[in-house]
Amino acid sequence: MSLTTIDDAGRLETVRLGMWAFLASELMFFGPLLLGWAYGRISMPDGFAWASRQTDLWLGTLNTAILLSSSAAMALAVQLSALQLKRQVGRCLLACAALGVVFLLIKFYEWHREWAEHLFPGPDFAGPAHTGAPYFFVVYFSATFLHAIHLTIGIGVTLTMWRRVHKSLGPLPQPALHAAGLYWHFVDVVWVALFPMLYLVERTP
Amino acid sequence: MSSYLTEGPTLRQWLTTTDHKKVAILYAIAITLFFFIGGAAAVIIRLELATPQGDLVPAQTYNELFTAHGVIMVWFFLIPSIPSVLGNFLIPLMIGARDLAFPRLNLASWYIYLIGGVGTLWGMLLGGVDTGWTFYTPFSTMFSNSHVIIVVLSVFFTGFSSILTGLNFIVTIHRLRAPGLTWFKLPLFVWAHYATSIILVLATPVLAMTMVLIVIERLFQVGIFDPALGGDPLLFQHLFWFYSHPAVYIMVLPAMGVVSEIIPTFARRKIFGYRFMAYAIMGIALLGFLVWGHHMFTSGMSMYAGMTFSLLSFFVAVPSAIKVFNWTATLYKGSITFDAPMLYALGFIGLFTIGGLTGLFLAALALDVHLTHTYFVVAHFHYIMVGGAVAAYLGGIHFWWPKVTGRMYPEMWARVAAAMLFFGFNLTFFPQYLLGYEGMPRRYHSYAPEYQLLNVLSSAGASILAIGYLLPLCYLAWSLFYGRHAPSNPWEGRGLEWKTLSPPPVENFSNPVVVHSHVHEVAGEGAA
Amino acid sequence: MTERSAVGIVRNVAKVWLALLGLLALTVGTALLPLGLWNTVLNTVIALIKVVLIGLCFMELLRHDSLPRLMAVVALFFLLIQLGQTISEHLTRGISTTPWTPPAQRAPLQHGGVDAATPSRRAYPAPGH
Ligand SMILES: [Cu+2]
Repeated sequence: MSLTTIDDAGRLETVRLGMWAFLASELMFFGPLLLGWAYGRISMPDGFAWASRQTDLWLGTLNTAILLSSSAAMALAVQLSALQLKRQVGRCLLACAALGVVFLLIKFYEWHREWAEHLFPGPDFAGPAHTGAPYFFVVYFSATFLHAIHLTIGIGVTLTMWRRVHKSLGPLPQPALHAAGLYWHFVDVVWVALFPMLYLVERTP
Repeated sequence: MSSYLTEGPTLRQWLTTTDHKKVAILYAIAITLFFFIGGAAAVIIRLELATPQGDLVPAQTYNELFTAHGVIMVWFFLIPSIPSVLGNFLIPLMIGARDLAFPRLNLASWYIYLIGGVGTLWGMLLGGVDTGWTFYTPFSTMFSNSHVIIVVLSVFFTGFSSILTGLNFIVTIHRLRAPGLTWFKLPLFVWAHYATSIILVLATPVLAMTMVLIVIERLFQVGIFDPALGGDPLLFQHLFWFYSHPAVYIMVLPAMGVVSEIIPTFARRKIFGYRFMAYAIMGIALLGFLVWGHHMFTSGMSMYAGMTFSLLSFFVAVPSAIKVFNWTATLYKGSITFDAPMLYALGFIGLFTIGGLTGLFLAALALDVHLTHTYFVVAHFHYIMVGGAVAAYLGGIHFWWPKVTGRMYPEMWARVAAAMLFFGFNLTFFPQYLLGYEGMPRRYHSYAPEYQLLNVLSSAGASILAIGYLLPLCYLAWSLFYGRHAPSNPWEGRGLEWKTLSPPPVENFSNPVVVHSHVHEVAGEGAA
Repeated sequence: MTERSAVGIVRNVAKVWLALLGLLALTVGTALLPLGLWNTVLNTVIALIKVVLIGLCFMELLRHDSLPRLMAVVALFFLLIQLGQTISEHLTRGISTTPWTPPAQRAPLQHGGVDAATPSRRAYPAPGH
């Protein structure tokens, strides 16, 4: 019996709690974007609908499927780590990070096209200037960009975890794996919310 | 056993420490620095306002001064003051833990804070910001020609130090309490920091994103908040005050925690209505999230929302009053001694009550139309933030000074400083209530001559207040070297922190801590 | 945690994964139908189901430690407070006015109706000063 420090058994729960507190914070971080979107959707529905139709539905859907799959790979990695299946855990982590990279590449391609089509709000915006279309794209670019930053961090974390798993000689670092997993799933959850908000407002007029 | 102060004394060891006690001291040094920088801006403001003409500084400089004062005092002094210094030092001690749950994160939060602070100072040195600490749009994004982006980004950055501190406290309080130390045995100081941490974790990110949106709107000149480009300026105010009203409770709840420790100790009685005090803390934290719209009554917001926000704001008075009544009831039939911490705590009760009650004036819809944007508001929030939070911070610093440093401060000087703070503060800010009621608007560097008398009184009070702040700086520094050595429990306090040495050993306690009874009459086993 | 076999884990994750992809197909499919506001309602409901699935099955919110559940619920609660209070303010704005409502807002604000060339608008990039 010693001073209350964190022993190994409690470490996982402590880390999970810490990560969840952080994710609660992250959720609130995305709150203003959700609010900004709701404001635009309510007060400028036509511009929003038009603007939403300019996004690439199929690439968006593909990307959502990719991110959902990456989350599944991450869940596998975390759950298999309890069985100490080192090789399988490593592979799942690698697959997860790879899917994340593919997502980013597709996203960059989308941005590139939208930029070329003058959908970035500004003086030479291609759409109707005063009906909420530019506002939609402010939300669109801000949200997808911030999501991409989070995803990039997630890829970095996942690859770091992969290296740790790859090099570890003893038991797998469960608390760290759980934390990395929670973060990845959160980034996925954000996209699950963003996808209908940005791509599916009113596809068919 | 060696104290934490003698262990690892080099600068390098201090800057890489993960000991919560040392990180607390790093924070104390940094926020003291920022306090005096922010205070310097206030000095120039009060000098300018001594005469009706704008003669000392031009209008633009004046705008930059009150912005610097607000930004520095709010984000670089008040928000981190009690949590990051006293909370950081004391929470593990009070719950019988070795350290916080994530010690390295704790150190990281200090560096993040420091980088944000340096960024802000850099922005101020480049020429400053003229938007006020509220950064209202579209002025801040479409009109202001000052260095908005760097300061806004620094505030954004500093937010993460708040979030990390809050997260660390939440996990620590949940996971690291000593065996037997159940929730309703926790000191109210810990309860207050738990509630504060929830606000830090949930409100700060909203401010962070709002700052990001300012940067986006300003950099790309796109409409988010600018009505000319399809945005909504009220959206900004909603987001800003969703953080900035609860931010008041980030400052005041820990202050209440400090006072709830000082009062029972110097009245030699148990705190009256302990459970209600704990519930009131949580109630204030919850209600604090629901009332932000009272900052927007005259902005053209919906009348119905205004009525709702007004009503909810009045509800906050209920738990606040419970606290004031219970502190007072604790004093009843106590054998009170008026040591310096007690003077600060009693000052807190009085000033917080005045600040809170005038807050009700401002929460009343129709009255707010008359009082908003006047000095009444300035006086109100200074009563809460300076009369409340700063007084409690200084009270706490004196109260735990023996524990933190192992030295006693000079009692006589401390009482003089506490008295000067109280009188100086009232002389500075009470005239501002009258000025505001008579209609003097805030944020102007010149004013109509009939307001001069009260302004001169206010400036005179500010000079007394300044001495009240400088005195502790001198005698506390003196006591570090020449002060009497402190016993482990100089005030006959009942918390766990008094059961260990002054200053505490690196491990906090030499023996395991087990709590058998209420923490205020703790029968801790074998503490040092 | 209970002992589980690798095969069981893979099977469970695969089920959730397929369900998520199915929901994705559903939300894209319904989005192609012209339902107006109902599109947004359906999208929101489906997104919420997906989020709950990920939360419960991938983020292990059903584990025996209950604090993460509490964290998630509290965060969602305050997010809804922010959203709800702000949006209801926005929706009721301009229904009736007070004597102190600024003249510009007496008539419901035409978005983008304010003259974009308001005086002293900042030239960009900002000149230092
Ligand atoms: Cu407020």
